[in-house]
Amino acid sequence: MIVCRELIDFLLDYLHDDLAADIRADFEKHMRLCPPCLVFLNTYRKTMSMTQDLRLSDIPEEVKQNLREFLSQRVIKA
Amino acid sequence: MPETDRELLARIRTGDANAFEQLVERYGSRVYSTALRLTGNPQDAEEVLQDVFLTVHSKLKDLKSDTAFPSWLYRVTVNSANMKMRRDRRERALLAEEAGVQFDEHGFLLHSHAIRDWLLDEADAVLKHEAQAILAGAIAELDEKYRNVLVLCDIEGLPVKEAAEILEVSLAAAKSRLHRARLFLRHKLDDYFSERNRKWGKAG
Repeated sequence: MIVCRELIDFLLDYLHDDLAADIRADFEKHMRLCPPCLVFLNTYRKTMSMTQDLRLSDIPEEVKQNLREFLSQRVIKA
Repeated sequence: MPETDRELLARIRTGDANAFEQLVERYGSRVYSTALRLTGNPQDAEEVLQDVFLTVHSKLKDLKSDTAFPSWLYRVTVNSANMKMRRDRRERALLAEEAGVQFDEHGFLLHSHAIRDWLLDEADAVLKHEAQAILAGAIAELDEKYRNVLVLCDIEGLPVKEAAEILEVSLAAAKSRLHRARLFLRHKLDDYFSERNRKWGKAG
């Protein structure tokens, strides 16, 4: 049986599906019996998804325009 | 069919300015998004963006294989952002103790230090906006070795293996840093949600 400290060490490998089968079984067993660890896993996951939401899919138009001007002076005419 | 990177890069090497503009169009937002999260502020991100494409233009001929272009571009972006951040001599955080996880002598989570789930209502725009600002600020607080791998994997969505190659560290080191960075951010968000629940009198 693994303890909470080990479980937290294994979180990344668990979520990346990188744990050996026996450790994974222990991990899941611990998770069923330990509500604080389950909450910890949930909040770890939420942290990941909120971080993912910080990705920008586009550049602000002004930044794009500045980049074009910068490059046309420094590169394209060079 | 859209032009492949390889075709585009070949045209750039012949001095085709139009091809270079297309490359900027194709990869600009990826570079900017990465730079913004690495530096934590739009002004620095804009300077990194300009610096990166200047470097790309001058160093493209040194690139050994065009299939490696996206990874190489990330490496150039990370290096440029790191240079900028090193000039900013703020004290950077990240020690295991700061990840906010406490255990008893047997390695069990300390239950007195109640771990509560976050009442994260996705529909609450104000809450979401505030939490995102907390998160972006916490990322900028991270020491660069943690920040780099976190931005590449959890924001840009690269596999840890690819991030490890870009950052020239072992896979084990990249995984360990990513995990610690996530623990640090989780802790910061946990503080925020606990404080908020306390203020609004909601049990978490």
